[in-house]
Amino acid sequence: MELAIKKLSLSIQGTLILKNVSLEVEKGEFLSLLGPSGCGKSTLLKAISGILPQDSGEVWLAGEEISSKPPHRRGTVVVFQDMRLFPHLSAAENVAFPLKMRGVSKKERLERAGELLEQVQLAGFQSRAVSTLSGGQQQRVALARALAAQPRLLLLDEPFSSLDEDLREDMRALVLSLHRRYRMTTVLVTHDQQEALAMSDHVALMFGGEIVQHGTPEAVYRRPVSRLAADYFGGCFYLSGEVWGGRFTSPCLTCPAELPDGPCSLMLRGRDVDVSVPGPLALTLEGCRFRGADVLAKFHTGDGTAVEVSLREPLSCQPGCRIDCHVDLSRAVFYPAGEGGRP
Amino acid sequence: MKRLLTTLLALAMALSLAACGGGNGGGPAGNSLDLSSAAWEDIVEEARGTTVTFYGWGGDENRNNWLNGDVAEYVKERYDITLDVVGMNIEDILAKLSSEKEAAAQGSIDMIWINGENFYSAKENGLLYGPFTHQLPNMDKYIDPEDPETLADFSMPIEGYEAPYAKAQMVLYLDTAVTPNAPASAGELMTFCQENPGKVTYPALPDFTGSAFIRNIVYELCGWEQFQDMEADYDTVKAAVQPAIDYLVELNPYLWNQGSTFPESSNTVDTMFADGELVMSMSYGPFSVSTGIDQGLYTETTQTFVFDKGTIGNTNYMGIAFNSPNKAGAMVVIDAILSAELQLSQYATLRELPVVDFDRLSAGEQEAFGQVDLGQGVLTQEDLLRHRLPEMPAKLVPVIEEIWLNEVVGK
Amino acid sequence: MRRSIVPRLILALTAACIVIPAALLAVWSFTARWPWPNLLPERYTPRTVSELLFGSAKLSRLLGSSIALAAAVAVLGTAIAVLTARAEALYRFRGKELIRLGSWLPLLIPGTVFAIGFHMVLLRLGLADTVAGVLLVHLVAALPYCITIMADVTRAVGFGLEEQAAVLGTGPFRAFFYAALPSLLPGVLSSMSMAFTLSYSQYFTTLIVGGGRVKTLALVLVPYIQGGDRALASVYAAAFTGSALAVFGIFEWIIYKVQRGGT
Repeated sequence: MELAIKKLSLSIQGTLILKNVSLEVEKGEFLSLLGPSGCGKSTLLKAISGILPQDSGEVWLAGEEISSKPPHRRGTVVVFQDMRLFPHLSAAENVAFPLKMRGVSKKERLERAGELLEQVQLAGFQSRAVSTLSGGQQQRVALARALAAQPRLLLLDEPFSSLDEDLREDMRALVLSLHRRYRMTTVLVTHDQQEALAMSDHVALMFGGEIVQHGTPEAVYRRPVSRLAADYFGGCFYLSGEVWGGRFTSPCLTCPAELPDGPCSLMLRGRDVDVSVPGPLALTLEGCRFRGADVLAKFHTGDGTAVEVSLREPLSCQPGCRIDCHVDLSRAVFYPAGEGGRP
Repeated sequence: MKRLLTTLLALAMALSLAACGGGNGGGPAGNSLDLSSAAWEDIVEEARGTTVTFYGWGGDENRNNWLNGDVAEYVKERYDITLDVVGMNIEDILAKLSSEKEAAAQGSIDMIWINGENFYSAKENGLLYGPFTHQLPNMDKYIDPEDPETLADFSMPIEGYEAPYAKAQMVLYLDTAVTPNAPASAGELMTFCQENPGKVTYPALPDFTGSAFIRNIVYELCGWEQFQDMEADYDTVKAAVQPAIDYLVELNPYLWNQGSTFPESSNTVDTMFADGELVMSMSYGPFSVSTGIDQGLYTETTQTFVFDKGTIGNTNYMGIAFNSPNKAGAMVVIDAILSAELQLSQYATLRELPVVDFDRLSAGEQEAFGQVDLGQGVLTQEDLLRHRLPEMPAKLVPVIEEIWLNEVVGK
Repeated sequence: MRRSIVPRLILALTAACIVIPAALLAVWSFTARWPWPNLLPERYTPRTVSELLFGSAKLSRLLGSSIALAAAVAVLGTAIAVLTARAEALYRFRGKELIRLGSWLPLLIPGTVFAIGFHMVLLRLGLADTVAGVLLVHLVAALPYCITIMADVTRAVGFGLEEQAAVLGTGPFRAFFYAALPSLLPGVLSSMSMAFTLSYSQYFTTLIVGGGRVKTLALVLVPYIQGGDRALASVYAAAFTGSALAVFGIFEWIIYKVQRGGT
């Protein structure tokens, strides 16, 4: 693997931020580091790039341990959320900066800068002052500059959070196309779930300074490792019940379950419920709400669990009516004994 | 590791700073010669090719130019001495010498322009080198050894610790176009002030010139002989100067600001006179009016005058610092300034009274002095010298200043 | 709503406070006699200008040494301040508050006490009466201002740009020089001008520590002010102010050139 983090711990001013983190990233892979604010993902990025010193643990890149190396010798380039373009340099000069530091001649590096600016769709912007550029344009210059540094590992620290929604889409597409072109190992830090799931080869989910789950987007979304992880992605509801003799029983639903006997919760998502097909799950309608692209129908089960389902059309029946719905049990996730535990 | 490096670096910087300092320009680091017993020719040889510093008040640009011009050229040509003139107030000079004495540090002051109370305190505190004047050939040749101003400075025995530089005398002056009649005595001065109320004043003591004016008034009303050996006791002196105190208090209401405050220096009084706020001013430089008229500072009708009974005169002196790095050089330069040639040049260029004894000059030299054009608005040298009174002992001066502060101001 | 006239009035008043004394200075430089209540001098004289230019004080050498000394203080003071401000913002270490207070001490101690105390120390080090000693005392007097200015600017600029340069493959010195310094330049200019002015106008410290051996323009100027020769003092003051302004102009031009330099 290209990047391997082994049992890395880091504290800032006495508070432990990263707790024994281990992670592996393949060469040329696009990994998203996903988690809520304050979970330590930016800190992990800074530890990888050497900006913050770790308390213990190792960082391996391309087969060598880089913890003892200063940031400028690691080959890890960071694109920050606040872009950090050099205000006294033009766009092209900014992009050419890493080349200048490497001693490339002025003519050559400005030429290369021009090429890179073209690749980020900023052709002709070479002599523009960075203060005159919009947020999206600045971010693209920052990207071009990062590429100019020919990184072994590209680290993106929430680069799109300061941009408008529609710009974000374009930027994601751009980053992916650049990633495809250069096949550079990339780690993207984000709190946007859609972003992480849509762009990445793998997703690493991070809570409270620890990596709780690492896998493909489907695996992380469909088989969340804990209730916490499941709730992070949202849209789920839980039926509490019991497993006995290979079968899960709850007031609303029963199904086979190859688990040891004992109390258990079953997690399903609203999208796994099909109201148009009759089935075992009895739901009582509370109401429908129009949301533009869809209609949100709110139900509750027999024992009071709230269920929300997204529909294309509002239901014809009145609030209070009972519908027996089909559920896709292949999507069910079991959490034995209440919290946590692997399915 | 980082901490160790920074500590070492800081130490290295501190040491190098200490090492790179200490160079004083010029002058040998102390004379190898035993000056007090050496022959004059040896002293001159010792001083050849060196630099001599001369510290004194720098606020007179004419004197600065004369020192950097005529005097510097003279000593360079004859003795290959480089003269370095430094402008510094005498209080600061003495403070510097005190600090250096306390720290036993090498000095950089050779010659000092000094007199009066400052000489008194410097000599008492061992800040001066001496005696040396007996070794100077020009001292012997041109200076009258019987002249009280050669023997005592403000009645303090000099004992060879300073050599005369120039003579000064207290003079008063007014614009005859504004006030045609000059008062010739204290009584006439009272009338003059009554005729020009609010337009006359004198610098507040302890300004040098203001102090001299008060002493002149004291001499006018109480005579001068009794003070020459009086005790520096407050009550004794006060009793003796009581007539002057009464006079000054009587004068106050007619003075500028009704005598409740006085301008803080003679320069202020002089600028007020030049601006027309006052009709009379005073100075220690007896020919300063002619220089002033030449420079356009005063009107052409400004005229110097003195009291009939005379005004106080004193001498300025040159001393040598106790830790001068070039005492031989200092002695040679002092001797040069005592020469007829430089005293003549001082008389002609700066219009200051020379210290050389007229009778000891050669016929040619006497004629040269006589031919000097002193300019307008001044009295002749003979006039001045005929109306010249000696200074009071130095220790009485602060007592009189205190009496004035307590008894006269604002009364 | 009509634009208020008050800001313009205040501006005019402030400008007057600067322009009128400067104009008076210029007129006094050539005045021989100006009694009250004349609106203009009664008599003019070229004496002062010829004294300034051709007098024994040798203006050109005086200017040269004064400017060189003050410029050295400006550069050294700013360099030290830049590093101090950096240390203060970047590191946590014991005694930080003490050092911060210490850097303010020269401002709190009365000037005379400061000069004399410093002189005593330099006497023992053998640095009294030397240019190095005077430079040192000026430097210490200027540092509080330089450090305060640079501390503010350093904190405002932050270290983000240097971090970015670092991850782009730039070593620490070059990161500071190419990424951070250009943004610090306005502060550098302020600090240098402040330190220059302070050193250039020092009288008492230069006198006591330099012992009269180190000759600066201020040293020659002040006795003429004390001596009551208003015309000569004015012309020297004009030379003093004019030369200082010229140096500021040069500082600004240099900084401007460096900023434009860019890549």
